[in-house]
Amino acid sequence: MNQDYVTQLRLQLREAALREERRSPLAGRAARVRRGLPGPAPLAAALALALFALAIALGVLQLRSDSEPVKPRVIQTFRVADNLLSLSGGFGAAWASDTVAGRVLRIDPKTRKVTARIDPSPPSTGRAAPTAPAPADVQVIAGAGAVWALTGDLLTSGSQGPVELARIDPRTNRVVTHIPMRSPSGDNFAPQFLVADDRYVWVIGGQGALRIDPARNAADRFVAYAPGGGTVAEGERVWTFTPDARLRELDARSGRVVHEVRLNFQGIEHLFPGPPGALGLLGLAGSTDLALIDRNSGTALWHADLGDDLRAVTYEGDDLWAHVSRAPDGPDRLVRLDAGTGRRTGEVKLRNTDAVALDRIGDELWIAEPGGTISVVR
Amino acid sequence: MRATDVTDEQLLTACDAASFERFYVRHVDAVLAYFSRRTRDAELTADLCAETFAAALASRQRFRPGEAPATAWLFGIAAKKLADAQRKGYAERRMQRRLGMERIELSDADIARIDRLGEGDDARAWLEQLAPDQRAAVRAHVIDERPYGEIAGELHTSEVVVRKRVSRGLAAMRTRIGVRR
Repeated sequence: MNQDYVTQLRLQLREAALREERRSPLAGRAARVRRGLPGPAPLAAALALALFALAIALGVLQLRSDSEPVKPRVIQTFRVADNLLSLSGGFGAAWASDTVAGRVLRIDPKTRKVTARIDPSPPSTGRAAPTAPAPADVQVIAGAGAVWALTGDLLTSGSQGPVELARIDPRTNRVVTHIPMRSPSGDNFAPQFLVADDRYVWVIGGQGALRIDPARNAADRFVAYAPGGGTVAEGERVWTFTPDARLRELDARSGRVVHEVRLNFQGIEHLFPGPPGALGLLGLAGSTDLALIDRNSGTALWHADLGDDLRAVTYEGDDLWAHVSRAPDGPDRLVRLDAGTGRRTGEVKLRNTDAVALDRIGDELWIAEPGGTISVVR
Repeated sequence: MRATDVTDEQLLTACDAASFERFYVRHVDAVLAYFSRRTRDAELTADLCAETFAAALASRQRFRPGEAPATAWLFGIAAKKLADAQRKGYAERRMQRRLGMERIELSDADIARIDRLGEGDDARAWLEQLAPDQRAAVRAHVIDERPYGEIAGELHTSEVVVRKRVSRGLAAMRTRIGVRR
């Protein structure tokens, strides 16, 4: 008789688990030691001692190889909300999204106090219907002359409800308009997050990117692409990469491919914006190997192994800050690299796991954490 | 002690085949539903589910009881597998190969079952996967819109504790759907 999928997988996992037990009896003993049950204490002690010695040796080598100009450190952690999802600096303030209250928070960088709580939801719908917490999700960014809040059904990328972009006037802290997030043909392009420069705001989605013209408070460009691994949008250009490892540059006006080049860095799976003013993009291979890629030739100019999963990057002068996480196994880290060479110049361990966003606020780096706290690194 | 009294954390840290099998049985439907809702593709869902449990089996010694519920840990793995698949366009089989597991071909009945699992209410399903204390706090504050003080009084705990439960519950839900900037 044919067995169903769930049963077949159950049997395969059982056999695999039994093979693992036979192959590695020490594993079971280590588990018993961790739970405080009787086990080979001398062996565990010797192993711990050896690991400690190795850690010291590696630490010494690390200190010798890294000449850190200034050691970054967490100088303060403060609480502003119950939960945070995004963070952005601009107009002399920090802007964060509180996803429990569904509000955009304006925070004074000097006093660390919340000075305004702004409801970005459209007046017609008001507070989310009491069926699910999803509509409280908000992504915020400051740029292109205003503060912008993506709000609505971000939890399922617009598949179960509308997503809208609210424009907030930073002088009055008021929402001045709402822009529906749909492609020109009216389809859901699975909006996920925002990027902004001096002139435009881009709404990056899983199936396309929509550009907003701040002068008209309306979408003026849409570039469709296949779901894949990350998108970078800037001015009139959008970059994606194809499954056969080609970097593709699209014209935002026509949606056409204007340049395509084979990447010489293996295993790229995600793209991030490159250093400001540089003709490069950051490519992520696997989840830990970061490279600066020349967007004209596809050549990797440098690459750096970050050790843990990369979550987000931001720039500060010549420095590139990479937020890496090994959640749920340990605290997150911020790794500082020289953006020109990829050389590691510093690192700071964060208090929490799974931090959600980071940005430069004045001369500090702020990291937003899911528990509603912000850690400040300088 | 009855089988139902054993916690997920105890099953994971026991590190024996039978305990992991019970852990799998408890959560396989939730994991299938999670992937099915996100991918709308039964084949991809089955591949991702198998890879998730293979990874959980291979790395269960890294699970630390007390830091996060076992379900949060499991769905953290699932979210990462989903994100990897979205980037690559296919589900990898690295952990299954390492464990000597073969790819399972789906029958029509399997596909129908997986599709049905994916038809539930996303937010409610994710809510149900939270640890009981977080689930109660999120439901009371976010869905029923009750103030923290009132919830704390009912649960005989402090307002600070309720705030933390809500915050961590929402963060766990977000992690499970693979939100990434």
